[in-house]
Amino acid sequence: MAVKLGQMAPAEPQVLLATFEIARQTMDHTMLNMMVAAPDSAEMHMMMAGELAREGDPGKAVGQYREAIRLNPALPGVHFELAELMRTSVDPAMSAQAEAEYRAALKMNAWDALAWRQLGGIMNSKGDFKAAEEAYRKALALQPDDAETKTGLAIVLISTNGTDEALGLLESALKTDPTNMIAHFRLSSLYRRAGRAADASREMEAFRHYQELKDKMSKVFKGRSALVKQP
Amino acid sequence: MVGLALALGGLCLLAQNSKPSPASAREPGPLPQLIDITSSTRIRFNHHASPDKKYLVESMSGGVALIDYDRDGWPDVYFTNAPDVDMQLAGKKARSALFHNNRDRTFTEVTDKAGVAHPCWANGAVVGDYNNDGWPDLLVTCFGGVVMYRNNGDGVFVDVTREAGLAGDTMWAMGAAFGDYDGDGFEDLFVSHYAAYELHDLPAFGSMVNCVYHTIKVQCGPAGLEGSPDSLYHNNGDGTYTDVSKEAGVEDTKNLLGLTAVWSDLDNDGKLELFVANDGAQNYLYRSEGKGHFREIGFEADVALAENGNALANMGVALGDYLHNGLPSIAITHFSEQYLQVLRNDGGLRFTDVSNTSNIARATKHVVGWGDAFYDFDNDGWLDLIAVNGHVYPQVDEAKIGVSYREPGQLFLNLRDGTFRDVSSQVGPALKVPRVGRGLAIGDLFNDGVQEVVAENLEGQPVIFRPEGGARNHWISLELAGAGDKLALNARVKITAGELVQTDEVRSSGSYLSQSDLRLHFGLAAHRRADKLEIFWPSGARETLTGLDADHAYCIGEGAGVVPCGAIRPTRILVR
Repeated sequence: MAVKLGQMAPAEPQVLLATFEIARQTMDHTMLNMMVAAPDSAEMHMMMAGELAREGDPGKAVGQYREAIRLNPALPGVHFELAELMRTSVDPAMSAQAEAEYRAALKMNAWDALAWRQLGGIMNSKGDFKAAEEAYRKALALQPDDAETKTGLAIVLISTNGTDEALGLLESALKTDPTNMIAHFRLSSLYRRAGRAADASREMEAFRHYQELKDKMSKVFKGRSALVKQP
Repeated sequence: MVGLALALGGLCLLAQNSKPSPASAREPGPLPQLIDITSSTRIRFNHHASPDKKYLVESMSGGVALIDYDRDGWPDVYFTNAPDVDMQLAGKKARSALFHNNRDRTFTEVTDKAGVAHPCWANGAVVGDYNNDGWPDLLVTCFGGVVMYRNNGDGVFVDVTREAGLAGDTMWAMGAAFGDYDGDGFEDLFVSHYAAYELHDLPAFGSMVNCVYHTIKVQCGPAGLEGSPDSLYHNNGDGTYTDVSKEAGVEDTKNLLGLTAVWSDLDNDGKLELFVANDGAQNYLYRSEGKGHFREIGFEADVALAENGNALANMGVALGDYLHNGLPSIAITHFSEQYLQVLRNDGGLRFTDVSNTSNIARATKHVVGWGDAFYDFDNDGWLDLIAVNGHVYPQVDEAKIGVSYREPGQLFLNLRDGTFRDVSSQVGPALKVPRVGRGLAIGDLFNDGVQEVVAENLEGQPVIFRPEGGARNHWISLELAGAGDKLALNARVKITAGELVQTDEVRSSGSYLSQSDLRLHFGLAAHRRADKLEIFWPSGARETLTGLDADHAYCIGEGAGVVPCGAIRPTRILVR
């Protein structure tokens, strides 16, 4: 119902709020149902892990994901979720394990474009540009219109002097997603180096525009959180 | 034999090839070990630290300056200190300290005699010569302005902040740098200011969303804090300064959180650029447009943000020609979950973020970095990179999130192909000791051709590392004196020894809140002499020397070549 409502009035604040509330209540209900129906299931542990991660307890979340995997090693999505949690961890020991979890996710489902994309990012940050390029290209083959994959691949290619292809990928990424800040920023730099000052300036303007929007959004959400947290 | 060729008015252009010069891949050999020699130097100093760091301002101090205040050719050491908020509100002070180099590998504290114990809530310290008398002066950045200490030349410093026209600066000053941007022979002064912060009205610990770190309640800020503008003071040539921030276009109308500032001729055109690292925001790069005006080109130069357009917590700044391309590249330390950013100088004021491709990013992602320097610790003629780290929040230790308050330092070996290798674990245990690092300065404390690292920690004792062992490489050291500015700030040197061609620049400031030795030091690897030395003086003069024997410290006066050091140093005043 929430999805239907959202589709019917995608820009109507009252409908969006109602959709949000429905989704939240559905989540709560589903969790309660799960607790009653299958409290010891792998699915229950995966659900709890997600909640713990959202509450900022990554250590316990990992424990729940591990238990879910022990109960059902083939549980769809569990390795990917765990990898995502690990990738964003401040703990170096934990974040170092993310790659293995993405690979586990891909072993279960080699058509998981998102996992290939994230693996590309991991390999890029490790300085293994060849592996990063391979992962991004696999992701792109599965989802040819994915702007983030194109941007990620472009970043790898910039590092390995493949700037011509990178430029094309970034331009293409922005056709799909004109709000992609990273693509605007990187493209501006490539244009400037190519001597295309006007294009560089246009991309930088676009980047700054979206950056300002992001800052404004960030302030709104931070302010809201601050109010909630105040005693 | 020293040959001398002098060419006045020459255009100061060094090679601008953006690629590293051809070099054989580095063979892994025995590396020097960084030994903690602090106790043997007899330096005893404790930086004050409140246990909980309830306020941001209590986490930021800890600068160290190497200053040869008595001009005996042996670097002395000054450590800043700061109270906590409760102490400050109660009128209590924290004691900074000056240590005199005894020339026997020990130091003696001379703080009281020198009169530099209590400048203010002291953050950092930089060295310049504001009255151009040849005696290096000390500028301390404070929570509440700056303090200018004039070096009397008799072992005593005098607070001349008011007489110098700097008393109007009352903001939270962090970075500062001397540099003669208008070429009149007198050192101007830039001061970067941090947050607009009122001790009587501080945001309560853990009270808001910007006082939470991964669900842990911590001090508030810097996110969410309003910044303060920056200041450029023009040296009037009579011992006073005039605030020209607005006319010069460097006043920081965005009010960003200014930290380290450095003057440097980044494109070898004989004019100074000004780089300002801003915490959690874009960096500024000011290019001189002449007539005392600058234009901010950080975005155009690709130094403003991270490679993906994110604003980083820019803190310490190191400059160095680690590629041997004749241009200073920039390395900036950052907060954890970011990375130590290496900005390769491609020439023409264009930079490329090579943090990832140079192998630095992934090794620095999980630490909070502060003081840093390009540092040829093995004298092989290639600049390595060192950084000290330490978190801001003591509370992370109890939260068990895999992050520690005390963090080890890091050393990256230059592999001579544009990349580095993390050798922190291969240079002995001292660097790996977890500390709450802040300031860092480099200098040959004992005039033996080995450069020490002096690091001040926010908590407890400072630490001095000395590289020992490894290959017995040769070196050369240069103390310059300009015809105008007697400290020759921003004079550039290109040195050739066989296939090694290196460049460096005399700089005030750098690292984090710190000042390295003003003498230039070059490792020469196996070369027993420098074939050629080209000096690009701030006056525009260019001077060439040839055939300088290695393993010597030379004093060079503008237009006079190598001279006895007494000829370029002021006469010591025994009684004033």
